[in-house]
Formats: sequence, structure tokens, C-alpha cells
Amino acid sequence: MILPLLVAVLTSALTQEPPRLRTILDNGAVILVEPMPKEKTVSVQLWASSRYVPETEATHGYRHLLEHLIVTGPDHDLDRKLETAACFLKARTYRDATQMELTVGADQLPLAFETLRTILRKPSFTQEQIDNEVKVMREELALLDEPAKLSSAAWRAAYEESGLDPLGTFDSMYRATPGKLDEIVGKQFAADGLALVIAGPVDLDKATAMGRDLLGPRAKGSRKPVLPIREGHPGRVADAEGSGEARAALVPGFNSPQTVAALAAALAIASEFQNAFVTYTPTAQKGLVLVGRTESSTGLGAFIDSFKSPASLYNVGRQLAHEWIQRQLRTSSGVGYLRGLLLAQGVANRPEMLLEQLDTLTPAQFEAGMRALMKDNAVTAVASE
Amino acid sequence: MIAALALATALIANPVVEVIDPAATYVSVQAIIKLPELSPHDQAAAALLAEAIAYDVDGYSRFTMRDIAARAGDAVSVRLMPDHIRIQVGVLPQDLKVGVAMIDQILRGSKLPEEALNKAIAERPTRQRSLWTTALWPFHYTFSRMKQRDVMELYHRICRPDNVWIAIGGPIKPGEGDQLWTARTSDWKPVKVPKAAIDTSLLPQEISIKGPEAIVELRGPEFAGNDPALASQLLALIGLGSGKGSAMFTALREAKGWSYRQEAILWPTANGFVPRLILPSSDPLGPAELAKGAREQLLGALSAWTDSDLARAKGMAEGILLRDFELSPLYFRPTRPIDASLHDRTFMAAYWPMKTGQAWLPTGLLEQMKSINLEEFKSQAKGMLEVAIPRLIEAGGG
Repeated sequence: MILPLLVAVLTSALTQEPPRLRTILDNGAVILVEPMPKEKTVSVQLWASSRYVPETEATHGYRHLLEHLIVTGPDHDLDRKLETAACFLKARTYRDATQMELTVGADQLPLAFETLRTILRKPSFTQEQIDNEVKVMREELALLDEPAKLSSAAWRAAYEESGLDPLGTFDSMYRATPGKLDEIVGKQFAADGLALVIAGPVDLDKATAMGRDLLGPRAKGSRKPVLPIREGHPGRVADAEGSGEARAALVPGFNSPQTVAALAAALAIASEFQNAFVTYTPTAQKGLVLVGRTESSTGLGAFIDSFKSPASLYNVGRQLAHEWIQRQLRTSSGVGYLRGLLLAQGVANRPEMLLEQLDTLTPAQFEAGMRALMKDNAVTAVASE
Repeated sequence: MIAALALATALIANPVVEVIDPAATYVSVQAIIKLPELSPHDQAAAALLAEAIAYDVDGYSRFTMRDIAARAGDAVSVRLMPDHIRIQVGVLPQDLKVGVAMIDQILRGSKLPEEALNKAIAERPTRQRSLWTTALWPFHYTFSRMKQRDVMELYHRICRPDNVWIAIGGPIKPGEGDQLWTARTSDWKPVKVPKAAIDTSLLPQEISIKGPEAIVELRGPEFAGNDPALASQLLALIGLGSGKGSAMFTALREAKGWSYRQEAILWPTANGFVPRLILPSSDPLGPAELAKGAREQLLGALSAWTDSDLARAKGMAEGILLRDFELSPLYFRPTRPIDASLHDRTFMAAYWPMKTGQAWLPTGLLEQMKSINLEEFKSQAKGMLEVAIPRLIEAGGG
């Protein structure tokens, strides 16, 4: 009796999953195609892992600078071509990987691949180009909002050098030279650090073949990956830029019950306030789950430390966390983001692991998630204003 | 007699707009309350009303509403814009009736407790004032002398059936949302509206901001929501400041390095829309010279526009209207453009008729844009730029 039931459950689980195909190439690059026939557009996302180029004080922000310089293409004409064809390219640098996302129509995959091929061609930069871009990036850093500033301060306090903000600082980036960036390019775009996700109204086999053509010829990295050892510790930073306060739970990888519990707890706490934010970027390494507010007197810390009935928020937290994950998996862009970010960190990583942990989250684990946000266990970032 | 009254209400109330999306996992229930031109005091009252309206209502505490919305992984949210207050909740399909009831109670049975208003008065001025937020909302409210009755009076003045647009979107049956809403609110009668004092003075504007960044804005002339040239104005804005092929990106960021983020946006006002070209910059030129320089650079860039620039703008417009690009001039949320979510699609289905008198049909808007030629494209952008008024916020404030 047990066996047939198990088979039935497995069959049911399989039928609920949309078809998708993950292909691991000989050179280590990974391609994932997820057909989503009802989506209006295809999201083609190339993710370049930071495993060979982790942020250090010496190279702080170089990946971000590189992202700025390469996405325009050697002739600075990629965006114009794309926008004329109602397509769009955006790029973003995270701690664990750099994302390049193309949004194209169902019949425009060749344009997306032509664009990526151009971006992946070995670029060359002049010092003048670098200096001009660093000037623009100084303006970008000034635009960071309060949640980003609080998050950056909390990461630095928790993980020190291995928690450096991938956006970098002007002080570090202005030292970049063409030679230093060339070195980053070589390491960051090694085949075994690349993940390509294609999601949307596409043919599974054709899209996979196109991905294979793009990434197959690339060489594998010649160095050993340098994974930063993130050893975090609780603490308090009281001079974060901006205004407000954030609490950050120190959590292991994305697929651990502690992480999911902290995420559910943070979302539940945020729901107690009218204006609160939660930040978590899924990482296979140790990370932070943040909840914060941006008012000058937030009441957030006092609320967390004195909250007496965490069990009352258990259902709310679970439901909010579940939807937080699921909403991303309902759009082609969200699929590209979540699957790409995780695949770039390991070919076996899947967002479903988060959902599985959530499905089995117990009230006791949730309470532990709440405790992880209390001041003795967490990082508190308070703005100086 | 009862039938006659019901008919009168039906004639006055705006029709419920439904957005059917069978694939959605939640139902979005929204009320859009139109804001008229308000005095600075009333604008401050509107800001407090948006903070407190869903705090505690007859029949539902905010925690009850939170728990109901959380079942769908959602929340009750209230957003203030210069021309409307948007109340929104996502609920599970089986909770649609209660979702409708919650919105109804918020509109008609809000208690606006002193506690919530005082909290809002304390918190609102210090809430996130990032550079971009300040650029979009470059003024501050004055809450001194604000009384609960002022907020309550505004609440009753604007929450009337003829001034509220209801939209329901998600996996619903055609007519289901309308039926539920109508059945629930058939007793909602328009009341006599007290006339507000006429005061057209402006809210106090920020004159400086902390840090090295100044904010430069070129604000074009206001136009009505039903302006026949709306499509043309929108295309001109896209040509000027949407996308990395736009004039602002190429002439101000790439050529001059003045800014990282520079956008031309369509900003709603009580009387229509205004085009706003915004760039924060720490360039040593300073805001006055930057504004002058930006206008010159942009006029120079658009005078050189060719059919290729027009084609790019039209391509970008297609991406924005049909493919839900994030980089859009449709700034109908407080700090960012609308997106492709069910909530925003549902919102637009009610907001656009309220604003323009027309149904929200992105394909129709795009069709109008297709017939715009290079001369009209350039002339619209040039006209916008030439009369745009600079609004400047200096760097280095306290």
C-alpha cells in the first residue's frame, strides 16, 4: 500500500512541474530552458558567477564596472538595435553572479543570441572609457535607496570583506585599469561559471541548441574557484548612510530550514508595519535575511525583541514566503532571475528547494527564525541620520 | 421608490471594471479615489488619509485584513498620487466576497483613529527620502494644525460613489465582481459635498538636499488627460528619455557623464499630466547651468533625430505598452512606473478611463503612435523642451 501511494505522490508532483530542460555542457556551462507558452516575451538571461572573482578590497566593484562597460557592446550600438526591435537589455551585479537579461519576442531569439555573442567577445577598454564610466557610476552610487544602504552596511558588519557590496565604491573603482579589467573578464566569463536561462514561449530543443552554440565553444576556467568563506557574526552598525533601521538574520545557504524560517519570520514581521521592507538574495553560501523600515524612528527593533507570540505569525509568514517565491516563478523574467542566480552558484540548485523547506517548516523552526532576528543573534544596522 | 433610488445610484456610480485572468492565483480588488486640485492643507490631509484609511475600519481590524490578504501572499496597500488614492488588496479567489467587503468598508467605514494619524504625522516626514524619491516628490507636507476632523472631512468629500472607480482582476467569472460590488453597495448614496476653500498655492518645495547631488528637472506644460495629442506626447517623452537610445541617455549621460539615471516621465496631476525630465547630478557645473546645458544638449540631439530615432522610440513604445518593459514613462505609482503585475493591469483598467475617458487599450495607443511622422515627433519634443520650466534642488543642504 505504501509503494503505490508513493508513486502516486511522485506522479502528482511531476505533473505539477512545467517541462524544463537543464543541460550541462562538457565545459561546465549550464543551460536551462523553461517553455512558458502563455508568457508574452522570452527572457534570456546569462549569469556569470563570481566564483573566480570574489569581491576583495583590491577589486571592489570591478565586476560592476565591467558590467557597465561590456553591455553596451564594442560599438555602443546594442541597446539601440534592441530597442528599435521592441527588445531590451538590462544587467545587474550581485554578490554571487552578474546578470544580463534580454527581453525579446517569441520570434526574436536570434537577436538575443547575437547580442550575447557580441557581449561575450573579448572586449577591450581604454583608460578614458573606464574613467568616464566610473564618473557615471559615482552618480549611480548616490542614487542608492535606504534599503540598499542599510543592507550594504549590515553585510559589511556581518561578513566583513566577504560581505562587500558588489556595487563597489568610487574609491576602489577609480583605480581600475584596462589590464585589471581584462583579468576579471578572463576569470568571470570562463565557461564553468556561466549559466544561461531561457524562459518564455520557446521551443525546448531549439532554444537549448542555440544556447549550446553560444556557450559550447567557450573554454573552461583554468583556476580553482575562489569561494569566499563567509563567516558571519552578529553585531550593530550605527552609522549606515540614509535613514531607518534594519535587522538581519545570519543564515546558511538558501536551501536550509533556518534560511526559510528567517525569511518567513522577516516577512511576517514586515506585515505588522505599514512600511517595511524585506531583502533576501538567494545564495548557496551564508547570507542575510533583512527586514527594515526607513523612518527615523522605526520601532522595528523594539517590536522584534519584545514580541511574545511568534506562533501567531506562523501562518502569515509561511504564506507570504510561499508567495514571495512563487510570484517570481510565474513570469519568464522571474524564472530567469531565480533559476539563473541559483544555477550560477551550482548546477544542482533549484528554487523548489526553498519551497520544499517551506512546506515542511514547523512552528518551532519559525520561532527560531524569529529569534534569529533578535538583537543578540542578528546584525542591526541603524542609519546615522 | 426604492427602485428609482437604486437606479439613481447606478447612474451616478462608475461601472466596475473587470480584468479576467483565469491563470492568476489571486484576485486583485481595487478602489481608485479621484483627487481634485487640493490646497496644501488638503494635500497634507490626503497624505495622512492614505496612511490611515485602512488602519481600522468597521468590521475589520488591520490585522484581520492582513491575515485575509496573507492567505494569497498579499497585503492591503494604499498609495497616494497627485491625482488619486489607490487602495488595493489581493485575496484568494474564494475570498473575493470578503475582499470586496474590505474595500467597501475602507471606503465607507474607516475610523481614521487619532493613533494612526499621529503615527503617520511622526513617521511620514522621515520616511525614505532617497535621491530619486526626492526628485519625484520635491516638496513636503505641513502637518501642523492638522486635526482629525480635517482628514475625516476630506475622506467624506472624496469617498463618494461618483468619485470612486472600482476594479477587480483575476480568475473571476465575467460580471462576478460587478455583481458582488453592486449588491454590497446599493445603499451607498452620494452625499452633499461641502465645498472646499479655493487655495491654489503650491506645497513648499525642497530647495536643497543633503549630499553632493543636485536634482535638475525640466518640467513641460500640463495637458489634459483627454488631450488628443496624448499618444504623440508620450512618444516624444520616450524619444527624449526612455531607454538607452534616448536623447537623455546619449546626450546627457554618455556624452557628458552628468548622470546615471535620467528619465522623461509622464506624471499625473489633478488636471491631467505633466512631462517631467529629471536628472540627479553631482557635476560641478551646478543645477542652474546643468538645466541650461541639458536643454541645449537635448535640443541639439533632437534636431539631429532621423527616422532611425523615430523607429527606436516606436520600438521602445511597443516594448513599454505591449511587453511591459520596466523602463517606462508611465509613472502612476509613487516611485516607479506601473508594471505587468495583475494588480497594475487591474489598476490601469480603471485608472485610464477615470483619467482620459477612454478604455485602457495599449494596442490602440500604439496604433496612434504608428502614424506619427518624424516631423511631428521632433516638433512635439521640441515644443515640450522649449517651454519646460527648470526646477532645481541644490546640493549640500542640511
